[in-house]
Amino acid sequence: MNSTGKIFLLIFLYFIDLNLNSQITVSAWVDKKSVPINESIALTVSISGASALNPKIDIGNINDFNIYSSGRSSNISIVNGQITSTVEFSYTLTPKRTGKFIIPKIGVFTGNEKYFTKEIEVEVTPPSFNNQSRGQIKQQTQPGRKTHTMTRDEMIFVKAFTDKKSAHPGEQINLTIKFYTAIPIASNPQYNPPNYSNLISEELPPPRTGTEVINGVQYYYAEVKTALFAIMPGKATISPATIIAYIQPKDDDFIDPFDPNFIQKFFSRATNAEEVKLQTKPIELSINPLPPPPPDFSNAVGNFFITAKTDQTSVNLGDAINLIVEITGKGNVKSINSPEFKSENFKVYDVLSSETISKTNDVIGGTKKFTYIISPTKEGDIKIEAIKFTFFNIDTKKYETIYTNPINIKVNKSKDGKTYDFDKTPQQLSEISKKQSDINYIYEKISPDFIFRLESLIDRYSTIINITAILVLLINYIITKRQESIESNPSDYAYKKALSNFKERIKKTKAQTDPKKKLTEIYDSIYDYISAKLKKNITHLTFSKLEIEIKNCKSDFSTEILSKLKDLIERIEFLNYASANLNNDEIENIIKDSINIIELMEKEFLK
Amino acid sequence: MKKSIIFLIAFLFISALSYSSIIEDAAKSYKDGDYQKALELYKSINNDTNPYIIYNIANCYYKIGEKPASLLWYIKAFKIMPRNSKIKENMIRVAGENGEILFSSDIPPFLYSMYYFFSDLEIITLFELFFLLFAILIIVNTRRKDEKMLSCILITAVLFSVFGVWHILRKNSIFYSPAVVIKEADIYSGPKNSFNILATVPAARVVTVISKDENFTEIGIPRERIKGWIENDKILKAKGE
Repeated sequence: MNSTGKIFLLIFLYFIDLNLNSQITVSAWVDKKSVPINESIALTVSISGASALNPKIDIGNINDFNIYSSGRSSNISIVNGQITSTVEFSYTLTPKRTGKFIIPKIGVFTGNEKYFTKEIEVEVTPPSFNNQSRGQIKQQTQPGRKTHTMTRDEMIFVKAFTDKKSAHPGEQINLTIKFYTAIPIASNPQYNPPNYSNLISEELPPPRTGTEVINGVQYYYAEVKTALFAIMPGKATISPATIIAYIQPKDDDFIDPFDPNFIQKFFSRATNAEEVKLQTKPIELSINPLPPPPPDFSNAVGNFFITAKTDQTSVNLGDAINLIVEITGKGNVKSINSPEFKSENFKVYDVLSSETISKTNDVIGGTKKFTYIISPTKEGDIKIEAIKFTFFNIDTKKYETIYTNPINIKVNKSKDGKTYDFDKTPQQLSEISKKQSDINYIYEKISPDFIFRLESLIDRYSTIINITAILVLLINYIITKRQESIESNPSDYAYKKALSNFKERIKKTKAQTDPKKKLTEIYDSIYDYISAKLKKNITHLTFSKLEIEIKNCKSDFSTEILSKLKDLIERIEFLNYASANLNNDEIENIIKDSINIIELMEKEFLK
Repeated sequence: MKKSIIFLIAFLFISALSYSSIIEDAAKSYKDGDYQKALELYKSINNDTNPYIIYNIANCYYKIGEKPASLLWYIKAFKIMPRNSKIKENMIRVAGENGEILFSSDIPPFLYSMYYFFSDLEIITLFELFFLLFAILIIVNTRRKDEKMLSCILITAVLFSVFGVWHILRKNSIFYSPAVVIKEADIYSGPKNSFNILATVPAARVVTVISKDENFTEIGIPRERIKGWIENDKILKAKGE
């Protein structure tokens, strides 16, 4: 491809970032190296060649000065595809104390890398006043020497006020924070600006100082102005601003504010300073809606005029042209969006914007510059039609539409004589063009649902599972507790279970075939029962001794039952040792009798 | 015991195989654009546990233009398989087409992903599993008295508690007991037309079923803080459709 125009366009768009990224220069300078404490210094931070047109400036480490932003200007120039970008940030610094200070390195973050400026040394000298103004002060202040009877709140105070109480969105409102003092302060006061709701702010430096007579009292004042722009209709609020000043304590030598050298002394006293914190009252503003806007209104409010120009008026087909549209006037130029540029004869590749803000006479204004990178799509004499821009004129309170002048461009054939199909540039071909969207497709093959069925089954029977598990845990608990009880006191357990154990053994005895063994088992069961009840082993005792043991254990034990027990034992002993052939009926009778007697004994033990 | 497990697995396997030919026919009908036939075939399987079949039914409903029904079936599939991106994407899309926002943009997506990581059934299953394991470990421990087992008991207790709490929290989800409004309907303050109309709900909005009456269903729209009664024929419920 021989066409320099087309190659230029592609390479230009591709390497645009590289050009911007390369050779970044960051610098900072001040307008004067020595400043009286009652004046201010202008600090400028400049970034050239930065890719980010919105770099972040870190000035938070400047502690010896109050810092006020006084604007920003940016400039982009495109010459043969080489982009030169310069952004300058201006600040007004007011010193807090006298002495030699160093403005530290200022960090600039471009989005990719951080750069630093060099340190700057500044000397802050005592205040300088011309004789004329001093004379005037003296003349004005002579009548009102009331300082000694004033309260501190009357001697030092701050107030905030706006130039209007209601405005339209985008209309400038000036806020003034004014600090008054009739007593010496040790250093310049520290200013903490207010917070804003439904408002955007733009500082209006430098801070102004002077003297003012109120009720016959001369005050030194310092005022800070801020331009505010409302965002939406409704209410807007300004929260309290804070001023921190350091004054001489009461017991210190008093400095008469009407002393001819008052101002010099005013700033030179720094010892034994007492901190005074002052706050303004909150301010509420009413933001009125704009009239119904025309369809092409893009929220620009102010009073503007528009111009347009191109960097060349004769180009080859495929070459790029910079169409520069500038909107200048008063108003918040930062918020101006690029006017729409549509043309069948030109293809728009990109729109770059930069702005220069002015704050002359406390009115925010400036120029917003839009650079449209365009390329003609056909040969011949073609025209860049007028570009229109609609804004709400804050002076006439009406919408206005202004136009640029049309610009004629002569488009020659490309150098290689080829024509270009702008609808099929490589850039476009590489993009994915979405047509329509649809829901995701069905599952043609369905995976088995064992798991889901199992989960469903568990869900269905979850109550039964839970109840079963709880019951099992409960049973386990009961068994464990019972086991623990047995293990902790076996004799008690034997005492409680004596009767049931006896009956269990008798039941088993019935299954025994050998009559002798049956008798022995019955005999042993009776003695084991009594042992369990007496909680001691009595199997080796004679009945008379056994009787004594029972009486010892339970003195009121029935003698009749004991007598029956004695008869039963004697019968068993007799049958066991005397009879050769034992009768089953007789054994059955003994079993019945033994059960009866043991049940009677149980009742007796439980009495 | 072993025999019964083998029998259960075999039964599940055979039942899955039994509808494989229907699925093939339904997929072919869907591919050919006969969505109504595909829908009938999928519904004839009568399987309300397989999320893939439910998802395919939802797709068929969408293609034949019954978006409220489609949304409800996507929600059913999502309830069973919340981690499936195809189901989730289609559900969000169909809901969005009807002006319903199922997942608020105010809440970070990863929180939703965590909250809906497990399905309702998975949460219950895991709860039951850890609860049973806890019970078994307790019983074993009372016999063996092994101190090492205490940490296992503690872990299982924590796990079943987590899933228990998760299950309770999920009851607040819009998907727990969902229904979809078929056509624009009034919400009454009681289960009769004579009660005050509290709100009018557009079609294809997802509501939560609270209780049921003969002709009315008590529903809630948590996001709008509306609770009232809607006629039964104006909504499709996940349970009983």
